[in-house]
Amino acid sequence: MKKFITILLAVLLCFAVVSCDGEKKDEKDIVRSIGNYCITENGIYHIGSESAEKLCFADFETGYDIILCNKPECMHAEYNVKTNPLPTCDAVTVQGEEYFGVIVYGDTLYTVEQGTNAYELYIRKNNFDGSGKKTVATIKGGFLYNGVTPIICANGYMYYIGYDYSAGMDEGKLDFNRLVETLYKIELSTGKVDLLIRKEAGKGIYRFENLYTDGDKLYYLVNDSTTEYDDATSSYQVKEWIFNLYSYDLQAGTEKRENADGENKGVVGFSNIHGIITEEYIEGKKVLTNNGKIIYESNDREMYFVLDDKLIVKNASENMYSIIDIKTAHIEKQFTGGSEIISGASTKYFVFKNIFNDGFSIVLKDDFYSGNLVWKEFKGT
Amino acid sequence: MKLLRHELHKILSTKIIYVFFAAALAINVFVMFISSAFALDFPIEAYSKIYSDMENMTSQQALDFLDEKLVILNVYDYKRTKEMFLGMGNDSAVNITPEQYGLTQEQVDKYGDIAENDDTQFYINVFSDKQFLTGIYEEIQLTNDYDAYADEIISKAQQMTGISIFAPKDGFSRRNIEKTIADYQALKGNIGTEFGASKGVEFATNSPYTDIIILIICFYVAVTCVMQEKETGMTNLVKATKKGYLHTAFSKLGAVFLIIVPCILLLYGTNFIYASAYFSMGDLSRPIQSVSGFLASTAQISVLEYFILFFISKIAVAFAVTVLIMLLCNKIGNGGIVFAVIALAVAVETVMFYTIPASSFLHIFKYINIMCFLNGYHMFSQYINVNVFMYPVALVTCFAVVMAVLLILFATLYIKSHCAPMKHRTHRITAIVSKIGENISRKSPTPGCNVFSHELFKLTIVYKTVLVFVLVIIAVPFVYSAFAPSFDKVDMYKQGYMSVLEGVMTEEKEQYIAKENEIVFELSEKYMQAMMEQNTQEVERLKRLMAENVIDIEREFAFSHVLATAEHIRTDSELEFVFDSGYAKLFDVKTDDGIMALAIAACVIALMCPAFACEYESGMQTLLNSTKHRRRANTTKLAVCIIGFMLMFFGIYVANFVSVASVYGMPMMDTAAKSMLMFADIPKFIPIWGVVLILYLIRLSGFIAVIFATRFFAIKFKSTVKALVIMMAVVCLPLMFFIIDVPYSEWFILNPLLLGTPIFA
Repeated sequence: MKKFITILLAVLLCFAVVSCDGEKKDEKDIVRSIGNYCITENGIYHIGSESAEKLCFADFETGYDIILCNKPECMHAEYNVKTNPLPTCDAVTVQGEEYFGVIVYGDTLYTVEQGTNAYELYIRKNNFDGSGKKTVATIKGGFLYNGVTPIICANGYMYYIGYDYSAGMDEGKLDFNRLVETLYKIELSTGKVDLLIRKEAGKGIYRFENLYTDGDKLYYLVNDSTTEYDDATSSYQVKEWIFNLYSYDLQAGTEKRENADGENKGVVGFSNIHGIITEEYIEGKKVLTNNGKIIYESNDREMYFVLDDKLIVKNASENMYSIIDIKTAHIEKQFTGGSEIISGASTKYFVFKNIFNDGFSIVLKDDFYSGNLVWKEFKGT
Repeated sequence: MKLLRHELHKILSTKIIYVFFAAALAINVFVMFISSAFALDFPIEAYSKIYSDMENMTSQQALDFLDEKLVILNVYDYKRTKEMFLGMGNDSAVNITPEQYGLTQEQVDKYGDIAENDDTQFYINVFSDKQFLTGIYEEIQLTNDYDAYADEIISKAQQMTGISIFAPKDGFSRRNIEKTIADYQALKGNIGTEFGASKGVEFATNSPYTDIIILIICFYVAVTCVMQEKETGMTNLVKATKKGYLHTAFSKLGAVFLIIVPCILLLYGTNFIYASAYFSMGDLSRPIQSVSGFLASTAQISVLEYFILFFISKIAVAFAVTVLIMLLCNKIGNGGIVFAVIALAVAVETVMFYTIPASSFLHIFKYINIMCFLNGYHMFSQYINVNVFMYPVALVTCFAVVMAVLLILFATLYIKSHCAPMKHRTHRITAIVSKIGENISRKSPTPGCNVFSHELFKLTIVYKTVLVFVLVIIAVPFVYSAFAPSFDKVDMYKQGYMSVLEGVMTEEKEQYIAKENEIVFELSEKYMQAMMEQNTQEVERLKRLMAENVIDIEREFAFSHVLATAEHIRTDSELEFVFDSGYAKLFDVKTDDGIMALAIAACVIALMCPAFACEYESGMQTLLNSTKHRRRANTTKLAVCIIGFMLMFFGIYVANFVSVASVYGMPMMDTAAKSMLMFADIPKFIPIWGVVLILYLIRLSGFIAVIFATRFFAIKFKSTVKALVIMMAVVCLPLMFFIIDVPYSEWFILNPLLLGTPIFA
């Protein structure tokens, strides 16, 4: 009898430990890239600001922002059917296509490249120095993509947002500007591509730009209102600009709305420790919540960045940074700062992006937390 | 030596080889002439004159000379523009100043008269000279200060060693960077680049059409050397003699080498003479880095030494290819299959060279590649390090090592196969095919009576052409996917517009076009106009329209096509709007069609040459001619060949048609083809399906002509080898020229029929 109770208690204890809230996810297994750049421990991989046909790397230690090619003598000439039909540069796309995304997941640098056929996108893996390119998967769809979107990698899969930009006819009306949002799941080891979600024509807008995951579910925003054709603008317009938070269960393959009617709810970030941070309205006030608990009352013109157990808020009108502990909801520090927007972080640095010139600047985390904003900008070679 | 003389005599004793060499030389000169006349950016006479004017000048003198020429052109521009404005009574002429053209008043005064009055100063004309002279100026400037160039690379490389992703010392990147530093540092201070005509060096040594001709010569020489004896049954007799094994093998190798070398010297020599006469080569003792395309090269050689290495590399590659073909001829024993194997190998190597990106993990196959080695200009002009087990090795070094290994390997294998004891050995695949043949014969209910089945059996089993069919069947899905057309954004917009406009013109469609014209072309102008007039309501309306409509260059391009089509449609009320992108892809003169035509032509030639020639070679035709069904046998053979060809033709072209149709669709095929702009001159009664049918009938007729030509030459020369080589020269060579973009090559010999599309262009 005693033995039985001991075993039972041990099993229950195991269950209790496993199902604890705030369990720390494997940090390396969920990676989110904003799309056109991805921050690693050593630097930032990004798509060239002057040419989307080149891949670049901004190195933290040396401060150089280089084109990702290991040939010092290389002129990095882009593809040209007459003058350069066989590009030799590692950073340049093969036939003049554009890069649409970059992400470092595990030990691999992945790039998303436009296909020579506008109906295709290639997911390619590369060495960290840009060499050894190999196609992992080909996404085939009714796509004519025209920009970059966030990419998420988790548990061996990549989740990629596509926009079918094809002109369509709906009830006799032609709309060139209509996008049909799609979400793809790519198994990185086999290259298998699955279409998870395809928004139906005329049914609102999916805001996959706010795509996040906690490993089990994908979170994104959806405008559920129907669209109607506006003769004045010759395009489809949504009736109401209200976005709802939806989750997609990766195991069950089902979609569910997370907020009630009439509420706007959005995801502003993901903490490796505490999970999803959402923005919602409670009693008319805009607040940030985590697991149902209010951690911050938000004001207008604020931008947020979530890092591990901290929420960093940038108030644009007051030019102020606030550092909030997610668990305690306590504002640990506040200080005035520069006009840059925080865009990401490595172990040592915070990365800021200038939205006007697409340039990057970095600050040591220790300096940032102490309010000593010593910017370091990158220079070309 | 006697044996060597005899082997040479065997190859050179026939008249046809001289005709063949003369034809090869003539074709080379002809294509070279066309390339110089039509493929260059500027007329050849302009290059000739400018290099003649700058002869014996140093780099700085040449730069000063060109600078002065460009100033004169700018003065001409300035004066002309000013006079034009004054002539129109435009007061703003007074605001046009020399400074706006990068000039000073002194320069205007000094060169004003020359600019206006001396037409002989222009190398081409006043409009093109600026671009022409600026190009040459930049070429000279680039090579002027080599040390500065090397310094820049070394400095960049040193910075790169500090970057984290290149830091690992055991990685290829770091080793490559360090090797680059070492290579360029060795040149710094030792290379005194001097001005000299660069165009001549590039023109003489960058001639892919000559490379193709060389490959055909290699094939002909190799096959003649080996197959002639096999076809006549003399091989065993020769081997039975005292020196029939090793000595004969070495003599054959020596003979082909002695034929290949003068061929290469003659063909490329012609290119050199032509380039030297028209472009000039400059001082041959200057460092190779003085030539504009060779700036990145780290070879410490002069231009003359480059030429010598160029010839050596060509000879090495050509000889290696020749020995490989001789080896295959020995092993396979069937000229048609050897041709098919070589054609496939060349195709695979070409595809790997041109399609594998330099950054790919497979890039070693791009560089360790016969086509890469054959392209000597590419190999010597660039600084390329190949990743060999994580170590950077210069491409030229790889070439030297690989070629040495291949030459020894191929020669050894050839000698071994030639010296193998005389016993009947059947290749495994041949044995399988023969076994199938035996089973068919055994099961045939009435063996010996059906001429058709006999001819079919001979063609597929006896001549083993079933292997070629199998190859084609395997290749069809590849053709389907490799040549899948690309649907781009312009096509998307066109498809969208046609979804509204499809059919005859109506009032509603006219209104739609007018409204769309406003959005695409007139919106921004009207917006500016409304702003100037301060028409707030109109400004808001137009601002909203501009914000809501994405107007990009592709949409403008697509709508321009719609406008042009609409204007054409209005000329006849029966014409209709059709989404024509798919049809445009079918009828566009493009390289893909050349590749498909070449693939089919190669298969047809590989199949038909042995089929028609074999019985003449073996003497069996004499026996056949004495039989009751001799005429039926001949016509049945022809019919079997045509049936086999039709299967291939439909297999490949149906796959191509389906791939285009699956992307674009083939809408409204019953509509008059005249509805489409590209067929504006075609009679109205011909529907779209009719034009498509005509295209494929033209191609079919071209290939039928190939079959008849093959039969003619096979019967005339009674030799598979000779027929093969002649058909390669007459059919395959023009197609290869078309693929490598030789100007006007779509009109060479049978190309207009085989491609079909030039007739509609």
